[in-house]
Amino acid sequence: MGLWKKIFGEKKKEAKAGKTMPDKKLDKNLETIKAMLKDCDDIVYREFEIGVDQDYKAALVYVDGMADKILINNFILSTSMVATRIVEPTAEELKQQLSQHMKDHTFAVTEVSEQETMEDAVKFALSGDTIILLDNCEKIFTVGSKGFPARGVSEPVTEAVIRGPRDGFTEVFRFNTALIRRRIRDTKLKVKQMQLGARSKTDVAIMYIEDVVNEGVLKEVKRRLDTIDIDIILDSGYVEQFIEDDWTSPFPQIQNTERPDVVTAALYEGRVAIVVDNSPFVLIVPGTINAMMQSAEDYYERWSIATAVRLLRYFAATLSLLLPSLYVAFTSFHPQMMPTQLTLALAVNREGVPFPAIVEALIMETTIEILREAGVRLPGPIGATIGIVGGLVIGQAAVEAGLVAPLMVIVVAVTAISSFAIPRYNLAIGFRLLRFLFIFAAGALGLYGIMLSLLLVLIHLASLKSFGVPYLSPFVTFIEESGDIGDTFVRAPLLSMNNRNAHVNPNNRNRMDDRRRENFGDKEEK
Amino acid sequence: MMLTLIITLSMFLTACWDKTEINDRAFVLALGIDHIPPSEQPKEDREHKALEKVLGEHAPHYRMTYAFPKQMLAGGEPTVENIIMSSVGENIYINERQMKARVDNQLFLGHLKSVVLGEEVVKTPQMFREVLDALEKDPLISRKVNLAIAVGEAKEVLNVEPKQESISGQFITDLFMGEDRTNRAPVADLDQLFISLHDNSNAAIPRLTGAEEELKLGGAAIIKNYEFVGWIGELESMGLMILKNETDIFVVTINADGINIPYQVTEIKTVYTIQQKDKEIKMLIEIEAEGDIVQYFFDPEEDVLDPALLEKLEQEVEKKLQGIVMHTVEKLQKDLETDVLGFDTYIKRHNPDLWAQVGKDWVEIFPTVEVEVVVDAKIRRVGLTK
Repeated sequence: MGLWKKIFGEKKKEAKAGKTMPDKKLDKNLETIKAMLKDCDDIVYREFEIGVDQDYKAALVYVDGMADKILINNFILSTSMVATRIVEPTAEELKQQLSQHMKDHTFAVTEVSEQETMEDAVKFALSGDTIILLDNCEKIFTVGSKGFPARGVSEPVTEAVIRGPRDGFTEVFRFNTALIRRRIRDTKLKVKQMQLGARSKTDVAIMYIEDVVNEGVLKEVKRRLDTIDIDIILDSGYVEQFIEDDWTSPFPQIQNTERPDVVTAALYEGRVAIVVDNSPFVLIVPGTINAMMQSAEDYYERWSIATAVRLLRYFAATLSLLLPSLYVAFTSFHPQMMPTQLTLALAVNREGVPFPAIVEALIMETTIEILREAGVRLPGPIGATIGIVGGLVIGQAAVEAGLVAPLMVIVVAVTAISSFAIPRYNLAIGFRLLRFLFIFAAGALGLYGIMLSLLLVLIHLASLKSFGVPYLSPFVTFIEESGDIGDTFVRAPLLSMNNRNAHVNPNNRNRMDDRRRENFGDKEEK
Repeated sequence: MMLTLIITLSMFLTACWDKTEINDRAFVLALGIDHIPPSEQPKEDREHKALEKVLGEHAPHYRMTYAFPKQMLAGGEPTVENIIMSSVGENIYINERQMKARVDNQLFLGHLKSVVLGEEVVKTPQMFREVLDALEKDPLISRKVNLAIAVGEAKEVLNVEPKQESISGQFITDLFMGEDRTNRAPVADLDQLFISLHDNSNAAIPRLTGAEEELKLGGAAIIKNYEFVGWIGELESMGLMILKNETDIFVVTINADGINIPYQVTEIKTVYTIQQKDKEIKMLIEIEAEGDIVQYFFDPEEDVLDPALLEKLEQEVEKKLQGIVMHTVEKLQKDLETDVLGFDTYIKRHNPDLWAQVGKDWVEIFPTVEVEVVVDAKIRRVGLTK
């Protein structure tokens, strides 16, 4: 335990200093803020005077670059400095109700709120809002003026589709919730916000549809999010790792997506979405292997082709997991299981290769993994070239040098390509990792080893749960609810998908009524 | 704890610990087994002579001939060499062991395609049964392996270097594969042969004849009670296959008004019916055939589709088929006196009461069974054109 703490650092509780209440004096308050934001040169303090005689002092504080200057200039400064001169309430009245006047009549902006403590106010300023301080007033106003640099909505890189919406999440929390809200004009869509990260104060929102959501999952999400106590959250990946069920598993138990349409669909399946600021990846819980083998496009294309593509995808996933190990098992242990002609061709193929098949497979697999890892980092235009050149040249050269058999190059290439047929990258890398386990098992024990490892993986998968929902559902739960199988290996026609999946939300399952029959039935009779 | 132990032990105590890389194996495609008469047995083996005094007589009877392609590197380029090796030993297993000392790669029988037995092997019933047992008990030899009897020695047949295919084992396999087009030999795999032999100890095994640079698969050896009783020819083989419903595509030539016309059978079905009068058993064999007239002659004066002409040709076909079948039946009944036609199986299945009476003496009764062959042939097409 001691070592553990040394490596990962002890959980330090942020000392909660006594909150500072705002003072009546403007100068005092400004001093307090300046003390808090000492040595922060990107803070702008602007003191000005308001009123007919300009005898009331005021000041505003914002972070340069984070706040929208045009908004501050036009609708706070200009209204306060210019408009207040024209208004002529009696001095006494004004004195008493200055703050209320300012809020109700002067600040021509949408988001105005009062903060009770200095700390709260500063927190708002640090997220891009503007603090407004008035002399002789114990209230502190913050005005929503977020205007930090942000990437616009663009096509999701990791989940491109041919048919379907092309907008993707960005790093801005509010854009992301808006992209989801834009698709759902439903009062039942709930957005519960909180801030995680003791220092970073990252915005996190739990989104769900009130009368569809699986209550148990929702409660569990809230419970687990509350346990997070870390100084800073940089990406939804942090949150994922804190709240997942089994951190030792190679399989991701929480789905992430860059696509608002995927989140929307998941919400109406009864799942819960977790939006994390600064991350274009929104988390969806509970995650199941079935959901991760689906692509948004499956629902936008007609059912027959979607079904064919899904079957193909499962096949590709199997290939990406097993192909190299099958090659090793067949060539080293079970040549009688291949057709004779293939066996003879393979034997000729491998003649002169100095390594056993398992070493051969490991060499090539490692090479392609290096290429892949390097490919992520290679600059765009060069990346593709190096990838192709690296793959082709190294493969060809390895064959010519007699290091590997030509078939091995095909096996490795097919495996690498197949793993990209899995729609979720994080699931694919799980398969990628397990592939090596299978290669070792095949090298030591042949097909028997592959079968043992497969059983092992299956046992693990069967025991895995995501927020109380079995990871393998609906394959393991379809005895209770066989209707769910219509959205697994196959994708049933939309017209027959009358019910929501039972394994995610047991309640409120009806999602549509098939009205065609009554309508068309009547017409035909006439 | 217990579970961990079980899993760990099952990992290391079981599994296939026979890892051999594919290029370190020699895939035997054809295997020849010969009987060597005592006069031809090797004499120079002094060690053997000395041992015989101690251990008694163990004369090496068997000569095994292995035909396998061997991959090797010649100047950096992998090439395939056709290797044929023979070894002599007391039994089949010892032969396999001995070969391991002479081949650098591991001889692997998992891809064995054909086994060729020397004529002498089937003439010695005891030896034939030893060979069959060895084939049946080997865990690697597939039940789909084809068996053939060589005219003369199996070694001679395997040693033929066919011009068409450099790998002789492959060539023999291909001959078997092509057999369903020519139907000149009753091809059966080991599985079917074992069933037939377990059933009544009779079988028809294809004949493989070797010449200078050619091999031919045609005809069959008839085995009665594990003993070779005689050969049947190619047409008789065809008749046998018609009778046993093992063929449906073959060609017969019919003669009508001096023209030799090929009749291509596309579908043929044989049905046995038993007719019993008192103690006499009569087998009625009904054959229904469908087929095409592939060729006739150019610009014929009468229409080939003329019903009268077709009727005449159909009758010719019937006559021809009946002749072939009848001849086969007679040869098997009268000359060889061996029931490989499946009469016994038919009676067992369809008339168990009768079988209870005749079963014991079937070997004697079979040659006396009266057989009637009725053929109904149809001509469906009169040739294709492009």
